[in-house]
Amino acid sequence: MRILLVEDDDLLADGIVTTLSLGGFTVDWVNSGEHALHSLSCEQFDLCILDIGLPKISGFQVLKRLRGATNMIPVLMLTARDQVADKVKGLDYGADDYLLKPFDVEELKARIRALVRRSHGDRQPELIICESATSTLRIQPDSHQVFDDDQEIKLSPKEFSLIHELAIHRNRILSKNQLTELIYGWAEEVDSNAIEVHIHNLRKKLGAGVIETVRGVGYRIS
Amino acid sequence: MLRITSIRKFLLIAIVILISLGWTISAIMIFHSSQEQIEELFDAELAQMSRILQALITSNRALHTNDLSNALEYLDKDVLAQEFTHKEYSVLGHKYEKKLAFLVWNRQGQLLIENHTQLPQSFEKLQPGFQIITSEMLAWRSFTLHDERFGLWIQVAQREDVRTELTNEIAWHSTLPSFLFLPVLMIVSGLIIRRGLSPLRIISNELKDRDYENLTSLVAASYPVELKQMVSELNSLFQRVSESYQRERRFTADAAHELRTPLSISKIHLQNIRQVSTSPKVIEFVDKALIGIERLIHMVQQLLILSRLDAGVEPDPEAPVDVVKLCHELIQETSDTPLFSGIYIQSRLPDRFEICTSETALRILLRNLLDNACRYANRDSQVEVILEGAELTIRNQCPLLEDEVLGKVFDRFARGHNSQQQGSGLGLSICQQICRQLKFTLSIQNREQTNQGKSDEGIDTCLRFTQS
Repeated sequence: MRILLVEDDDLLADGIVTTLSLGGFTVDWVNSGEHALHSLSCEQFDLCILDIGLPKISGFQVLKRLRGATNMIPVLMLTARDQVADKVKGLDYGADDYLLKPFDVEELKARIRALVRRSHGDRQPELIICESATSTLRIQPDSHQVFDDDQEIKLSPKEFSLIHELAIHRNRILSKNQLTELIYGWAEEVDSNAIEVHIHNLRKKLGAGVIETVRGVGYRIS
Repeated sequence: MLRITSIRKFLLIAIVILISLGWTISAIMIFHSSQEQIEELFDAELAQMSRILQALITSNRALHTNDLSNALEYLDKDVLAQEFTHKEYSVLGHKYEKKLAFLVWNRQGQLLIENHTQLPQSFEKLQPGFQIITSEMLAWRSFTLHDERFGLWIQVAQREDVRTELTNEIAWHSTLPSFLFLPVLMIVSGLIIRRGLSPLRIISNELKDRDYENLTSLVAASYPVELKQMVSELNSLFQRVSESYQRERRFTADAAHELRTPLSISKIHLQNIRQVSTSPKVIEFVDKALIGIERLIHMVQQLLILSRLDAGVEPDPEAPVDVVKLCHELIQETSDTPLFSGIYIQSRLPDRFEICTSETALRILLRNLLDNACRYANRDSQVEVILEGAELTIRNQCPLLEDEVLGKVFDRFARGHNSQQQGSGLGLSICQQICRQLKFTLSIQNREQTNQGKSDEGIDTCLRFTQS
């Protein structure tokens, strides 16, 4: 799951990036409203964590412009202001949730998961990858686990991220580049065939028919 | 220099003393001057009487015959000797007649006429003009006229005591009204001073009746010129105090906001260390650091609430709030707090108790009271929440507070116990501030009793939803 963090404080941003990476999220960080708007207009993210107190263009302005450009990405606002008026303003501008500094990392992760679930119209904490007469393959995003019926299938963090992305974008074809962005972000150096390797390993662990290859375009789960 | 403790008293006493002094001096002067004038009048009367006698006697034809004794034989001596004693005034005479004397001698010292008074008859001592003649009992003021042509000595006298009595009486009558008027003057002065000082009283009443947070200006136009300067200085003082008060409040609020980001940084990095570390020692230390951070976060939150209360931020509009429902919610919330895991919260609440108030403020108030009771309670003890009538009591089990500490629990940064669970020292201060706004009454007292053979001691926090 790829997240854009918009936070002007380096130390705090660093802490959030670390904690979310440890939680299996792919996090890209920008420190200004301008950069945030640019990144959100050209690349694909599952969620945006937006600090309100940004220099020049405030978080509220970023949100307003984003929604003005009909970008409906889930936005979690982060702020030091606890006044009801500020919360109302943020939510009215189109924020999906609101977290007050200082926050607990577990609460941050839980809210991110809930927002992403909601944005995909799925209120269940579990995602079903495929159902057959004999077995049900399901993902538990909270615990980063994949089960075949009750049998847990061990996956590496990147393999989990890849199957999770395909599952939440069910029936949509995701290109190799899109998948690379979603699971690696900007920070990591990636081999050109990394995605193929992960797909190969996933097919071995989950069964060949789960992930479908659309020639010349990408991959999808139907 | 005399220290003035009351302007009104000072003015009144000074004016009364001055008026009394002036009045007394002038009264004495009037008295003496009246006495002198009356004495002179009496003397003139004596002289005039002697002249009338002289004229009457010398006009008698017999005198021309130089046989005065024969001439005066025809006078009815009894009439002159008659004494009138009935009453002061009558058509027949006056009982004071014998206090006025007249005597007429001839050249040889023979007494020709007298009106039979007690005036000593001494021809040898006679000398013309005024003189005082004293006998054993009485003093007389006399005037003697010597008629050289006929060799007559005419003596007219008045009793000195009668003269003094009359003189004093007349003098008193002229000064007494002034003294009677003096108390009236003092009362009127008092009223005038009272009226004159009334603007001062109005200012002091207006200041006294003010809310302690009211720093608005007084209307200078409604005060007299002498007070305008003072009122304007007072207003400028209010202005300065109000500005510095605002600055201080903004500073607290800004500081509390600014502290949130560094606190977030510390907390998130500590939580990250905790997540990646495998060393139990490191985890233990990080947990302790996290407790410190949590305490700091709590304090910042409390400071923010307090600065908002100080700023007089209007609580949300009053609406009916079910206190019981709110209590249940907060008891649940507090029970779920890991910090109070050893505390068992028991409640004795009716089904419903509704009051009309600000829900946000009441929530902060009750949460703080409950938090406070749990924070300072003995480990693994019970906290009771009891609502009876319009009175909510929260009782915990903890060491008793000394009287001196008990008197200061509502002070900011005051700490009651040397407990391991340290709070921000602001909780009760916040509660009191809210109670003041919502017009509730809050009291805290020690409880020491024996319950079924076991000693029960702790603190009772009592919140009355009415003003005492």
